Amino acid sequence: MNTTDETDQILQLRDVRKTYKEFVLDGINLTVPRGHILGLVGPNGAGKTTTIKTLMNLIRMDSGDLSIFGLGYDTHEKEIKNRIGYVGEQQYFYDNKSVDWTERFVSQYYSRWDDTEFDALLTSFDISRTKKVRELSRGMRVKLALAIALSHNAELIILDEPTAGLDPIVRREVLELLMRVTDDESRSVVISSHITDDITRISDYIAFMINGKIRMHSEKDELLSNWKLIHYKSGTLDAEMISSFSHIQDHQFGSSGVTRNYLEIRDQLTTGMATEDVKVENISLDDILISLVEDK
Amino acid sequence: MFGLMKKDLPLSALQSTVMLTMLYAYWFATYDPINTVMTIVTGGYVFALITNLMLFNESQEDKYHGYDFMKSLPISIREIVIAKFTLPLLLTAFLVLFNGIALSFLPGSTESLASARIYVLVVGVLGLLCVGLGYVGAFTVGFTVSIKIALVVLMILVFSLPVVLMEWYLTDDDLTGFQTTVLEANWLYFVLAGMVVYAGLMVTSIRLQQARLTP
Repeated sequence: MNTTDETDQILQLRDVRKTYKEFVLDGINLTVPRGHILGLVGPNGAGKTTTIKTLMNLIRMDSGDLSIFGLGYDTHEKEIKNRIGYVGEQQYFYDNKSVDWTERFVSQYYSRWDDTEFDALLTSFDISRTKKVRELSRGMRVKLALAIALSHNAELIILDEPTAGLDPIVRREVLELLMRVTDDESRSVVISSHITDDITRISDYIAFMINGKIRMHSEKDELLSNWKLIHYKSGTLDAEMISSFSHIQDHQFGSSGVTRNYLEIRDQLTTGMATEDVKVENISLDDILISLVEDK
Repeated sequence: MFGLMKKDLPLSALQSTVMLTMLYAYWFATYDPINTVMTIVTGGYVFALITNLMLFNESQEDKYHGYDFMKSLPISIREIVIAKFTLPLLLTAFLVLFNGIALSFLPGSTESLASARIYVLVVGVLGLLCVGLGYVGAFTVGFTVSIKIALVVLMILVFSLPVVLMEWYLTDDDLTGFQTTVLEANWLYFVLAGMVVYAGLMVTSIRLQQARLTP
């Protein structure tokens, strides 16, 4: 779990609740250390967008505490939003206006707007200033939203499913840009996605969200080191260890099961691994997500 | 806040310029003395320009999810709503001033000029109250639904209610008396009361927009 000093957290959510008729955001606790990327993973309808909108104060939570840069929205909404770059699930702009007009409109509200940076991003994204926003493709709209989010020296970038619906080339470009964003370690990113490949590629921390709850929040490397798929022949592992596995399946070569604490049991598997009676396989965030969903 | 008003201004400025140019080109071409018809038509233009400002801009906000866009920026809801209420107020002030001056270049008695100026001012305030009510409606049930409700209310107020009242309750003298009372005796009170109500509608609109954070 997160071991960073609490004062170094750029964002803290404590027991945040929001109730709708058919959905409950149920006691969300989240932290993001400065200079890191948090990936919010979950199936559709898990509450990722609700959580992100709560972070942007676009939805008012029923209870709980939300602190960004150590400040609360009650008294510091403009200051907080001035320091956040936001790309929503839908990129809302005045479609009948040009990219140039959009920049002039948004730039007047950010105290640290960097016109040179915006120009550079537009050039690298191949977006013309004179184009009307309605002429931009879905990918271009995401890039415009990103250009705005990255042109005012934001300390926290919040992205809600930014790569959904994008082709693989644009997706890769967007992800590489986000990785570059956190290179200076003063910026943090919160990114939600159900495309776990994207999250695996860029995140330092991962929070799994299922049915309105955070089911797991951990460093990515620690998570991927501990979650493994163990293949074993019958009689090679003791019953107690096998009982700690989940999703046990029998097949013609033996059995397999998922462990969540590989680093703890690794020594006990050494003998079996030497004789090839036990094999350890890495698993993806997809597999972990599926395991967590099925475990509910 | 100036930036928010500037965003909503261009079409209104164009519309006002075109409509007022057409109107006064006609008045000066005919060069008739100021009369009741001219006063009512000029007031109608003022009312239309003020309410159109709100209708067009809200239709744009509705179409492009403008409020969602603005709320993601470092702008407070209070600033957004105050800008929405300030621009029609400035437009009304401009239209009242412009018409007050322009009408003075037309022939007519001092009384008819004064009456026309007061009429334009009162209609301007009525327009502002409609704008304020429009925002309250739009922020309560959404722009599209509020327009449907407004059309039904308008149909009743403009076409049905006067007919019913005239048929069974009121005489022409009553209407003339009302017009005289409001326009010429108590117009200042009406304008002041209108401004207070407009401010109240603005405060209500701020609260409604803040409450809309919870969809």
